[in-house]
Amino acid sequence: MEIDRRRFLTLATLAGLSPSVIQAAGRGSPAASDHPLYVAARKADGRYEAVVLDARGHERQVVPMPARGHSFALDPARGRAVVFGRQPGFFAVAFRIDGAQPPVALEAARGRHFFGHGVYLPDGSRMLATENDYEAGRGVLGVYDASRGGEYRRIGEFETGGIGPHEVVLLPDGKTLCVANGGILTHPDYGKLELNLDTMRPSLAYIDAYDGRLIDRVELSPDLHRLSIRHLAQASDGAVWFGCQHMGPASERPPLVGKHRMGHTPELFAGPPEVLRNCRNYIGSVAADPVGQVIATSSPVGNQIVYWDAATGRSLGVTSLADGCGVAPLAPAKFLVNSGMGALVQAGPASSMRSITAPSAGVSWDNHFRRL
Amino acid sequence: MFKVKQWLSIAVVAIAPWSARADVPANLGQRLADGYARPSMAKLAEQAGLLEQALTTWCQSGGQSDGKHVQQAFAGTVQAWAGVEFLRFGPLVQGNRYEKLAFWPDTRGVMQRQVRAILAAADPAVVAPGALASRSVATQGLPALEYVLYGTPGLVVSAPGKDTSYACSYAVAVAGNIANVSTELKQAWSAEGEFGRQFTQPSADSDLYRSQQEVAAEAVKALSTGLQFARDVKLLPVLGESMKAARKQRAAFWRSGQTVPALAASINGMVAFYEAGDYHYSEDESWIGSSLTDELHRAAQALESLNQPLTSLLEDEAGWRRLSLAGLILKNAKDIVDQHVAPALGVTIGFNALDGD
Repeated sequence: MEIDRRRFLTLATLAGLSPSVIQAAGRGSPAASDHPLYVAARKADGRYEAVVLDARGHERQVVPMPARGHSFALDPARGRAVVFGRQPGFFAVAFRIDGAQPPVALEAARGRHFFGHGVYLPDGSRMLATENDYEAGRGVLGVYDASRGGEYRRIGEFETGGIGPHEVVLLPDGKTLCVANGGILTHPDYGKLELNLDTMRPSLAYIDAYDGRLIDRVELSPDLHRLSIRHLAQASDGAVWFGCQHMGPASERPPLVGKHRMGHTPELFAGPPEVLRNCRNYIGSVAADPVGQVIATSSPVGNQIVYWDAATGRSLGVTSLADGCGVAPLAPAKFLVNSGMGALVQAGPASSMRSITAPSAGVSWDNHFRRL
Repeated sequence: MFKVKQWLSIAVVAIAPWSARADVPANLGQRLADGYARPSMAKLAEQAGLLEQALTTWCQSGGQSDGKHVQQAFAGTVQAWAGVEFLRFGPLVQGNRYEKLAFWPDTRGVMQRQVRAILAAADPAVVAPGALASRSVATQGLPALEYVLYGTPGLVVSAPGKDTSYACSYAVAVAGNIANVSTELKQAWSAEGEFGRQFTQPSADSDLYRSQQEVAAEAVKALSTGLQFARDVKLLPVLGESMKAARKQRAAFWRSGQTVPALAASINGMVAFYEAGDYHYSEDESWIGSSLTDELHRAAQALESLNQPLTSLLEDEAGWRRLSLAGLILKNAKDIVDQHVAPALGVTIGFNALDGD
């Protein structure tokens, strides 16, 4: 009953809102690499929005949302994206990057909620989203028909081989998904409260994007069973980099960042002890630079972004930014970073931080910042 | 070898968080420990010990007496637990101690299923001294004990006649486990305990707390999260969106009638924990402390005045509304902590930091 009501509220709220498209030069080529566009979710003056913007912080489109958003599924080839509600999210909004058509609200299926991440398949036929089958406490990927006329109908679901799937990425082969099963059991009636800290078993799962077959599944060592694997990015060598959140006591300080290639053992990288301490057992976002050689991991709790050499796992430097979380590729070894305090900056391991938009009292950017 | 110093000097441009406007007491950790955490942990250990004794005596007598002593001891232990459960850092999160004492909320009914299985198998090895500690946490704590005392078989509420000797042995074993875990907590917080030392004596070379500022951050986070838990986890799911949607069985300790008293005890504990800090604000912000304690007292009193069983409260419009009102006050109190206490003490609670994802 409760869920029906939530759905109704979501859709009713969305129906009353319309996006604003900001006319700007270069609008005809949304995905052109010389003027890359970015998307992020935010709270601005009490409203929840998804925003399309360029690297200079100029906004191209603002899509209203009924509640707080999180991350996106991106289809740059067709100029489309879906923003998901932050977990436990009962809505998602599909929109065109150029704002040429009105956004479409998607509701979570009965007994499911979104975790906040998803991907499109390269041919644009399907969109898949990480979801919670919350009565059963089972992680699934919702499969949606993203083809022309498909209207994002939910056509099925795949098991993710774990509890609490968070981020999902598509490997370069275009058909294998990598899912970070965070291992944390939650139920929407209790928000994000962790219900299984004693028995968590996080994993990385590789899944066939077309038939849902579980190809490979790896866990970290048993003593790290409370290290929730949550966020993912890909390096140029094909390795999947992951960022974790440690759910054990603060006195424990496991490495929070690692990389993995299918068929191999995951490698973890701690970095210098002082920097690891300052991460406060929490990584909120992971991104690779445009050439896939430098990885950025953010800790909004620790107010810092840490950079890593994708080839060796050597830590390369740190940027301090209060509540800094969203990281997106800008140029080789350079990233755009936004914060819960409304700041937008350019930063990297070898360059000093440059402000693009100053912090603002009314604006809070959510965890993720994605480049189309 | 990488040099930490050089590493840190790269690209550091700090955007300073708010600076503190109130003085964090120079002995904050000591105050919070001596003024609240240590006596509360000691109380829990003491109550759990009494509960174990009461149950042992009662079971040895074959459960012939009315079990009132057991009921009183159980209520006392639940209330003592309510006084420490919001200190969900340090010793309470080590070794699954929180879950061992209170595996709740239990959305999948794990406790019931596992306790029933234990009672059905009646394996003496499970109830041997110390044996429970290595079993599933859901079978080790207060919810499991409440279930056998007040639910199935309902040792203290059902008429004598059935052979409940195994269930009684299991109850004694659970109480013993609760007493053991509580004693561990008390020791860890004590002046001799590693955590007790670190919390009361933060220092630059300490691994856990480097300054009183970091202790203040821990304390503010515990309060903020504790208030959120009290409202969002304990109260709202029970109340539902209307009286018709209320669900008693989602309440903590509903079987023993301890839901409301425990919630009040928890709020009283949070007031006392806050007051133990003895925070002083600048003159124009002196209202912060008093309005927080006023709100919390108001919430606790509102709950303490409800001397009806939970079922009738939830079926009664006035009762339901008064519980809702307590939820509203708790929300106000949390807002004061997040928006005023935290920044005044120089503690930042960020948009992305507070509510992780």
